[in-house]
Formats: sequence, structure tokens, C-alpha cells
Amino acid sequence: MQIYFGTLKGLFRATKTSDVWKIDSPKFAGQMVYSIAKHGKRLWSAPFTEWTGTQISYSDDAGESWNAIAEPIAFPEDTETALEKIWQITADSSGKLFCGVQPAALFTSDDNGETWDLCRGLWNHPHRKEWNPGYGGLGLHTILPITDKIWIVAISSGGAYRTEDAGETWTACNNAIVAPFMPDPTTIPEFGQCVHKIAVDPTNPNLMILQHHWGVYRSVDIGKTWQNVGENKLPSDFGFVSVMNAKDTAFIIPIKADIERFFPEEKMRVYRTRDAGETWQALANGLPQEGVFDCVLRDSFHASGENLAFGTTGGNAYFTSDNGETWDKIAEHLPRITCVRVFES
Amino acid sequence: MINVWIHSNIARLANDKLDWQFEPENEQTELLSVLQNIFLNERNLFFGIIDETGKVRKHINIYKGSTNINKLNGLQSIVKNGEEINIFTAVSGG
Repeated sequence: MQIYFGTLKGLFRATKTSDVWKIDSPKFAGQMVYSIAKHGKRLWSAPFTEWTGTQISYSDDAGESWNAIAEPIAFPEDTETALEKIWQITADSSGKLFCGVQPAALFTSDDNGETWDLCRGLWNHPHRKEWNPGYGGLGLHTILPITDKIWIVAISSGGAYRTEDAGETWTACNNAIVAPFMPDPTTIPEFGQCVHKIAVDPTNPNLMILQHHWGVYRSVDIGKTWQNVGENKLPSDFGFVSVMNAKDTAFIIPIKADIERFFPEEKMRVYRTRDAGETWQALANGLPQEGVFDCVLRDSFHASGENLAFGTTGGNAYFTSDNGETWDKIAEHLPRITCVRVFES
Repeated sequence: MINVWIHSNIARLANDKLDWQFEPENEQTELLSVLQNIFLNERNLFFGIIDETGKVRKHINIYKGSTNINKLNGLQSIVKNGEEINIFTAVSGG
């Protein structure tokens, strides 16, 4: 098993031998890494600097060596737009690649990443010009290819959007998601929510758990409608992550507040539901429970079966092999962690 | 001959090659044309300096001799045969 940590200063790989985790020297040293993906044996990433932008890169040897694709991903000339950052790369089961970028847009590739096409259906959506950047920028950071035609994306801050025709047309799907940062918090807007992450049940794609910028929601109809499943059940329903790894089983990590981005009560706790959000259980065995001023960002939590890992903005990383019952600290003193991926070798 | 030197932070996009040469057909050439020709087969390097809208990236500094091209005519600055172009990343903190 290998765990990859994208950070603000490079991509780190952790491997376990004889019960000891070893962290390799970083690849893309000094560059920001917000995305890691795997399809088949090939790894994908998109190192980024403020100087020279981003280059989609791939590795066929488990991250030992990396090559940038020959033709850089770029917005078409007629958009008069420059790509700022890549937030997410993912692949569907057929190998179609998806790339979510800033400013918020979706690109796809059907030739294993050699060329990328802007999804015009989303780019031309009339809502797009009303989306507002969050503190981290206007990024499309979540891509869920449910089938070859049904995809869901999430944008901060634009909300969740759903297509049923492989990107030709898109519908905002933020039903019931309250946006307390909007002028009238009693009115639920059609779009403009700040969806932080959506996870899909691997056994039932109808079921999703969504972590909003305040609020944890469930959908049982592939994102068409949502129900609040976090209110009064969690120490805070603010947070960034959402992970699902088994039937009705999801994990989130509550954060105290919008501004105070620390763990509630200064305790590092993961919360797990095994009944699709009806009840939540705190998981803290092995995690620090006193004076913890740390945070976990939206892509910094990942699962492969009952193996889960997360990384913090303070550069600490934790791993569980028993579905969250016990945790081990496997790294510290890393740069700010921006994404985590757990892959079976 | 026009010599182009790029900072190592940028050169990583082209196998760490720091020094580049361009033999212009005319005595005077626009800077953009120099860069388009010299980096014709180095698309990642070119896009690392100039984005897809045709603008020099915000934190890249290009000098003709010892003069920042922002004080000249930007990418439309005229480069003469024998002049040197230097491309740097801006200094940064953190």
C-alpha cells in the first residue's frame, strides 16, 4: 500500500515496510500539489506554482518518475481565459479523464490525457458568471462520474451541478442546502452554495454524503435532492471532507467554525456514520485530544477499503487499517497537506 | 544571434536547459516572435512563461539586457541581433 500526500511544497509518498512507515523525498519539490489520481497503473497529478502555472503530469512507476504531458492543458482562445490552477483530476471506469480547474471549469480527455477539451456545456451555463470565488479561489474541485452520462461536479462557490447527457447540459442541484453566507440565509438559493466535498456510496451510487460550508447533507437520488443529516448530531457541521468506503458508511471531520478552522474542543476527531447519516460516532483512538489547533482540507482524506488516511494543514498525517477504530500518526512536519490518496499497490 | 537565458525554476519545464539561442532572419525581431520560435517544441516551457491569453505570467520577469520589458513595449519590444534576453521568476517568500 502507498499513500500519497500532496502538499504546498511537493508530493510525498509513504510506504509501509515491517510496520514502519517511510516517507520518501518529495517529487515536484517546492511545487503545490492539489490533485492525485490513479487509473490502472498510471498516476496523475498537476504540480503548480504561481510562477509558471500548472503542468498535468503522469507516472507509470508508482510515483518514482513523472512526465508532463506534451501539450499543456489550456482554455480555448475564444474564452479569453487563463487557467490558474488544477483542483482535481479523476478517471471513470472506462479511463475517461476529468480535470476540475480554477477558474471553475471542467475539462475531459478521451485519449489518456494527451489532449483536453473544455466542457462547453458547463462553461456556457448562464449561472457561471454569477459564481463567486471563495477564499481559495473559484475552483471546480469535485468530480463524480456516476455513469458515462451522469456526472456531478461541485464548485466553490457555485454549488453542485448535475448532467445526465455527458456534459451537454447541466442543472444546479442544491435543493435544501442552506447558504448562511448569502444575504438572506432563510432562503435557499438555486446556486451559489459552497459545497466542499461530495462522496458516493461505492455500493449504491444513489447515496451521497455532502459536506457544505456549514451543513452535512444526504442524497438518495444521485444528487437531485438533499436532506440535512448533521444538524444537532455533530460538535460542528462545518468541515471540508466527506469520504464513503462501504454501504451507508461515511466519514467527515468537523471543524469548529468558518473562521476558527480548528477541531472542535481542540480535539482531533473523525466522525463516522454506518446508517447514511442517521447517527454519527466519534472516532478518536490514537488521535490527539488536547490542544490541537489543526485542520483537514477537502481532498486531504481518502479511503481504500477499510484503509483510510488524512493529512492536516499542520503537516501531520494519520492512518487507520480498521475503518477508523484506531489511528496511527504516520508523518509529521510535512508542509501544509492539500490532498491525500491511498492506493493498494 | 539572440541569446535567451532562463532561470532554473523555469528551466525544469525543459529538462533544465538554461541557455537558448535564436538566429533571427532580420536585424530586429519582436520579443514574442523570438520566444515563439525558440520554444516552438517546448510547449510546457512556453506556457510556463506566457499563458494561453498571450500575457506574461504575473510572477515572471523578462529583461532585455538589464531592462524589464514592462518598461519597454512588453512582448512587442524589439530585440536586435546580438542582444540578450533573461527570464526570471519573481522572488518569493515562504
